[in-house]
Amino acid sequence: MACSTSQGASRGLAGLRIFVAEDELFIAMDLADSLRALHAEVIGPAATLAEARALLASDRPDVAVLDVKLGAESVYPLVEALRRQRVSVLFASGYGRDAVPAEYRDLPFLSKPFGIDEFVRALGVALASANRARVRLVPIDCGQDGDDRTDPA
Amino acid sequence: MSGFDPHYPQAHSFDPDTIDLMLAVLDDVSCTLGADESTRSRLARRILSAVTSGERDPARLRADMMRSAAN
Repeated sequence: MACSTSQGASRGLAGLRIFVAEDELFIAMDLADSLRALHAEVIGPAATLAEARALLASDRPDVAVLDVKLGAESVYPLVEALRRQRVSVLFASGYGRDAVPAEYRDLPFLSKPFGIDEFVRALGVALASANRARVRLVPIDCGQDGDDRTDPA
Repeated sequence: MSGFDPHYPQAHSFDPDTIDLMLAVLDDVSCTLGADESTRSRLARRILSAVTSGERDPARLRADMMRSAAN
């Protein structure tokens, strides 16, 4: 059966656990709401490094979306821990990729401001580039529940 | 999921000026009301909703927020 949505067919994030670290209240709120509307499970948003650490101590996401600066703090101390746990990382920042230290420039980067379509595409890149699960983003109105988002490599 | 509206429009790409506008209105109204964190969070969500719907006038946003707080 053909599935379609008014927003396109690449919107479903059902079953995906997404950690969001973003210190800008309105961006965090808007992004989290939108991800939930796409059926993702949102962990956070965390506005500080301490909040992020606390959340990640008890929860393991599939992918982490990280603003490179949380207040005055750099988010990079989190990245090593996330990599060790094989959590995909996507940077989202208004600073530009050049602001990212060289050792992290291989990680996917999304420039702010961004729209949700752009974000979802970057999310797919982040998951694929980490060689974790390949994500099949399913249409949201097909009634496909369950964890069918991974293809065995 | 408290306060989450499943019909909420998809994420918007807010430019820095719009974010500054939202923060200014939030700070202004929160200060006027002596809002606690919970009230501030509710106000933020209402501001986000209004701006997402196209409102950009700070005076109207502020008036809307004051009205909503009074109700």
